[in-house]
Amino acid sequence: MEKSSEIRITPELLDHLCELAKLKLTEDEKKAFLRDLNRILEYFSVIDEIEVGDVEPAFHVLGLSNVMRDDEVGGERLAHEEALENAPHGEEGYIKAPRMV
Amino acid sequence: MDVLSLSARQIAELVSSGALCPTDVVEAYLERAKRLNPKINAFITIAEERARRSAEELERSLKKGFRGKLAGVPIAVKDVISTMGIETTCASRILKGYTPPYDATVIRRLKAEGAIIIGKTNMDEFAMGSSTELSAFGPTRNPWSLDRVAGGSSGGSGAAVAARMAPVALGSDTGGSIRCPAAFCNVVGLKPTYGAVSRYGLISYACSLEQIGPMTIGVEDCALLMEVMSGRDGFDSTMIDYKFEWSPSDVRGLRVAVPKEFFGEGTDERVAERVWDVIKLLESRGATYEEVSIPLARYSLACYYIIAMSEASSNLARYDGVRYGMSCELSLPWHEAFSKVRGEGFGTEVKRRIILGCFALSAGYYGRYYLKALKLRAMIRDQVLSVLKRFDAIATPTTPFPPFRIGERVEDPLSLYMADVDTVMANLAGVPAISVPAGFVDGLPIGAQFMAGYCREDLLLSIAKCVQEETTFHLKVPSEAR
Repeated sequence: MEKSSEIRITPELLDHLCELAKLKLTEDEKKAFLRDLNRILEYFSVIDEIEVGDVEPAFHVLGLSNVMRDDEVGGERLAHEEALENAPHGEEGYIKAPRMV
Repeated sequence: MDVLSLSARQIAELVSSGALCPTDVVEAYLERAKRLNPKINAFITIAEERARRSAEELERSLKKGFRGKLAGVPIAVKDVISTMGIETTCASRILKGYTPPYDATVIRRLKAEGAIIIGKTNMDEFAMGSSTELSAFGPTRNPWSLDRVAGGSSGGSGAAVAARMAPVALGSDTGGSIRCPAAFCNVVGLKPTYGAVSRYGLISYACSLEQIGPMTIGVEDCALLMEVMSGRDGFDSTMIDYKFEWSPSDVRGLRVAVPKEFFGEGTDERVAERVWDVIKLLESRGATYEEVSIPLARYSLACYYIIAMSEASSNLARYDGVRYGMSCELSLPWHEAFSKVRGEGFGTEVKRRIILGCFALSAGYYGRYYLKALKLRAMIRDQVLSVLKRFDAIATPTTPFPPFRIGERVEDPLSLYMADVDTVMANLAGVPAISVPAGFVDGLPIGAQFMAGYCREDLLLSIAKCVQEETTFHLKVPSEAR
């Protein structure tokens, strides 16, 4: 397996990541990001020094378990209008979004 | 009576007994906050009218017999915590204008005890930063030296308390965001055990790491806020069974571990000296200490950033200009509309972290970065816990250097990340950690950090109380705030 220290973010990979992350960058931003992101990755490669093997990954550190409850709506609820009041575009009690299809 | 020199506990007692009127308290703090904010920029919003109204309502409740642990106490709240009816921006353009229709659980609990929100404090955008320079509303200035940073990301809260613009404040801490500004502003800051305080209403950055916590002048106020805020909440399913109790105890017999990795290369010698002074002071009060090694400390920072960025890329997917904040252009195809509003609405550092997080989670790199960091996190946690089996607490500097100049590190992301090198370990392990004022280097405040085992906030507070009994650093008021 190639070492993390050999991994580089290329202009093509950056475009791909921006597509995944839904972020439109300016050309100037792209140039600066290529430099900064690769410097940060270079720093991250310090973890190559450590062998982790089959250690159980810690998604959470405290070993939490599921919290179950009855499927009932409880407590205070927001009124319909309150839930929508921050949406920039609304119409007839709905939120308006760009056309999807 | 000088209202501005009272502790939160004193304010609540005097207000409850009728010796002090909530409106007088609120007016005194509003006057000061409004006067000092133009030069310190601690607040994004000063909630003047609401604070006045809350004070009047409280007066009516008091007449009907209401008593509260925080009656009439003005509180400054980091702008990442949802406050019903008060704009909550996360210091980001993309949330400009967003007014939450509900209160975070911590806010509900504070209000129920009579606390009054005086304003929302400045921060690094979405809590991503260590200096409060990365705010869409400009940097917060350190009240101890206006050309220096206040630390971050809860820099506005730290500066507000230091400059006595509020007696107490709330911060949030993902990798040191309460403790770093506490150290840089000469106040106490506590990051609770993961799961001790509800995150409901805390706008998410990295869910598995962050906690809300208090920032105060005195240790007793820190305890008071924990007492009110902590404990189970049905709206946060990642909480633990937690009951906050603290009766101050002395430090006789306390065993303190001093890990050498936190005092070596990269750490300002003068900072290390001040922290050693604090450790020696504890020794003089009957504690013992021993130098130890936490070899994996070397990997904490990289491990932390990989996990935090990965979680951020997922958490910040919700900002699309459709449901709140900045508006996307409805005429564009959806993917272009989202990409445009996100490109324009997020600041540079937020975009950097989203992209790197996306990278660390993407096919082909997941195992090498994200999964590896999670495994490393488990190893780091186990190493911290094994030290805490032999010792009651771990002592380190809060930051490796004193507050730096505004602009000094901001162009170089890695040099900014270095400010977190001593604090991230507590978040990775989920253990509580406190920063307590440890003195000054060239007139600039620095902090000593203590970590303890899960749910041992009581121990941290007793240590901090002992330090505050033996020193006067925390009583000093910055000249800019007079």
